[in-house]
Amino acid sequence: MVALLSAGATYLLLGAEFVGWVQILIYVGAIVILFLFGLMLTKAPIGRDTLDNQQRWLGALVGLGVFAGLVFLIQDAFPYEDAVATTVVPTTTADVGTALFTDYVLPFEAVSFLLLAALIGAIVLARKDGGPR
Amino acid sequence: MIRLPLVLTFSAILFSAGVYGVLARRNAVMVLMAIELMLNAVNVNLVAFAAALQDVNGQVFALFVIAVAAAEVGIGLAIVILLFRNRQSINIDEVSLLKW
Repeated sequence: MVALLSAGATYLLLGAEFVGWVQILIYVGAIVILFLFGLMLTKAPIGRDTLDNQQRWLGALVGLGVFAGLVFLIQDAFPYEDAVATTVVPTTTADVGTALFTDYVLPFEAVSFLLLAALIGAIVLARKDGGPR
Repeated sequence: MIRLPLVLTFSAILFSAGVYGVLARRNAVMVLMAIELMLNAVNVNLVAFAAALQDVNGQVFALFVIAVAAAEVGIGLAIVILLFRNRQSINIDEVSLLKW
């Protein structure tokens, strides 16, 4: 279900070429595999009763409430009646690259450093014989 | 051809499913995946507005969100595996050590 929703999001994003393909590669390719590994490594229990906890109905209520509120806000801010069907002008990868490496160089470097730190952190956390812990 | 309210509604559906998943799931991995769903909703919104405003900045921000989400998934799964190693269970109802 989750993978299908992600794929739906992906194809919907395809007005934006580069982000759409990055989404496919990272989510469907990498993150789902990562989650499968996580599920297999932890011997996830299968079954309806073990899937959700006792707050299921409360959670469903809150989820539906959030959805109703969001739909109300969207309808309030962007009424469907006078929504012009904007034609998608596909932005090329070159545009995204230019914006990424001119206006956003510093955030880009920060994100790359964050990824490195997260990688090292994950390795340290999941190492078998963690050092002095 | 897109209609902005439809895309925003789709994003709202994704976000609500994520909220339900975080609140009601018992498996920690599933909770992480629900968080991913909510981040995906934000990405859909960013790209939709970027397409509507003919602006490329929204896509750049969506890329940043994807990168941060990937980092978050890595750390989160490492924590979950550590939790499983220590407790032989990833039922988040049992992880109440920090509960006040």
